[in-house]
Amino acid sequence: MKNFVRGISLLTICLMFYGCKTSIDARLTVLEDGAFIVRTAEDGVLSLPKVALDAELVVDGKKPEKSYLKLHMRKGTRKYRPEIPVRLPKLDILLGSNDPIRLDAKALGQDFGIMLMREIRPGKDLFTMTFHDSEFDTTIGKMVFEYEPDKILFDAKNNEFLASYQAVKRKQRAVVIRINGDVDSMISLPQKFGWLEETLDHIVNYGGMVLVSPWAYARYANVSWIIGDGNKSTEQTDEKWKAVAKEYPVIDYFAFVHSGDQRIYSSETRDQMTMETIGLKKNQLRLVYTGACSSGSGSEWLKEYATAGAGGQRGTSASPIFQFSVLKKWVYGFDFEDSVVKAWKGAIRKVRALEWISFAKLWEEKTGFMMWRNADDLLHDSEILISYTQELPAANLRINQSAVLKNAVTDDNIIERAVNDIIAERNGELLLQE
Amino acid sequence: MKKIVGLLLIIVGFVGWKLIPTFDYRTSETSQPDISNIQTPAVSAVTQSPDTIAVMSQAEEISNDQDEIKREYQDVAYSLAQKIKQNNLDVTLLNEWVSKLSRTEFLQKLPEEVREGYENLEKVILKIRNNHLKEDGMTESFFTKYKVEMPLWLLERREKLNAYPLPEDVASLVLKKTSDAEISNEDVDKILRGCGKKNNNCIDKAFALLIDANHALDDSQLKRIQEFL
Repeated sequence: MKNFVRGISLLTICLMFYGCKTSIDARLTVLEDGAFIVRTAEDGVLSLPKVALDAELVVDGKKPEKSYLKLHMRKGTRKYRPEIPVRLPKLDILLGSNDPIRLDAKALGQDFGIMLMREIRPGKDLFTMTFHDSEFDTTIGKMVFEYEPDKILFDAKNNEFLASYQAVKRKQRAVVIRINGDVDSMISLPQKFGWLEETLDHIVNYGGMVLVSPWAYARYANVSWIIGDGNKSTEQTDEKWKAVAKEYPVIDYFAFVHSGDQRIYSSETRDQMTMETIGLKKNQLRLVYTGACSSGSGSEWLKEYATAGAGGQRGTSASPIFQFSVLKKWVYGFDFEDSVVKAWKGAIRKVRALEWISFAKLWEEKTGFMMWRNADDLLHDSEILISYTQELPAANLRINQSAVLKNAVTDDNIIERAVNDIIAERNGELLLQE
Repeated sequence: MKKIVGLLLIIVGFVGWKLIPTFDYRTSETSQPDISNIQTPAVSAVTQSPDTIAVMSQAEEISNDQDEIKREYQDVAYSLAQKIKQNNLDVTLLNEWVSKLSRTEFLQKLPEEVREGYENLEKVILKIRNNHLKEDGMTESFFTKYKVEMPLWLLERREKLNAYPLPEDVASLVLKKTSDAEISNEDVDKILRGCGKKNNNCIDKAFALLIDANHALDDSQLKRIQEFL
């Protein structure tokens, strides 16, 4: 009971806050001289000249019908701030709708009507409010403003987000992490003893899991691990994927594995699992990154699993030098493009600082042959490639935001990029085809 | 007196001798050592710093530290591998346990000497983890920063409520209303009637779910709820 009272107090505080007026800065453009006539709060009538001026949209949280538009004008040398009363719906309905809202003159209590359009963007959304004559025949003014609505476009019944860039809470996020190999170069083990090979692989995988855990659990409510050769066990693949697909609206997938193992195969049927067999809804699997050799840009994840973004490696990759960094940066809150760029720049520094010699030596001890001729060779083969669509660029994909594609993904609208190209573009360098 | 003066002179001479090379390092650019070939990532990131001496010693420290951790990790890992082998533990089974059990449950399944091996491995990985944090300019507080979205007492209360099953009619109404734009006074009444007077767990859980779905209750609705508690 005591706790509930505390809860109610907290709620009351929230409501008090909710009940306050919300003022949003805007820029109003009057399109025609004398056509935009408004009634002010003092019962005066104001004919607005063709001009662009600052304005405020003030929405009353408790009595939204008492909302008003405040215009920033001058009367002679003095400031003049006329208030134009408008009866508006509640704030979360007005600014939380994904569809355009039409407000008739009669409902507003003015001689003009309003249309409100919302463009959902990362961070604050962009709103365009157009003013029309009472018959909606002509447009007389236009007002733009930015606002970050609290109301999330989330369909609780279907457990999915309806639009991109909506806040995704930690409790709504899950990650599947598959480990079969060296997650990080610090935990690699030279295969000194053939008779211990499988056991050492297990230890390296366990070590990878222990290392990655704190970062993963910090930002995901559910972390599903698939350790070792996951294809050997139904409990490891089929059940795990199905369980997260049932409960979490946003799922990311990181696979620190060998070439080809990043794909999801059913242990039961041995077939590749599809969105249908896993039970994935469209865009539920948001991002896939793998350090698997020759995994490419991961565009197949966009086409086959409707992910918003993916990443992989060009060729035989020294992924343990940087793959964990991609996950860390993503978890720290960098967008996907920044995450791979920062991880890759770190990898270049490490390789140039001669780590490639120790790494190549370790590889030689493991596999019996030297994989790369020099540092340049290693960096070329290991380059991170990413894929995404124009609709949701990698620079807009973030751990705490939904990513829902409206258009179907086809070969034509997939963008594939190499991390060095992104860095070159950021540096303002001109790229020439070799 | 002469003895004291003599002793002071020796101390001043010793301190001066110690200070001169330090002063030289800090003032002369040409005397700065080349650190471009130092082998750790953290080092290469700071090679541009003008305070070369401090960087140099820090770099050596990190490099030595990493080498030492790597050696320690390899020793512990090889020792654990042997223990696993000696105890005839199947690696596929171990992987499965690791994937589906909690850490405590997994360790409990193991013979004591193997368990100790895993714990030793975790201790070394903790050092690797700390190096990663240092490299990223982060501290351990990052790991807990995002986990707490509501006060602990409220979290505990929520956990307790999760275990409480709502009456069917209330549950279906709440589920329907979570995706609605607004909750009306009639909805509040239906929930209260469905839960019954003084059924605080039911009332608390139903409205907690609605609040989670971004609903806000107005003053009169709150008053009505309080009457039922």
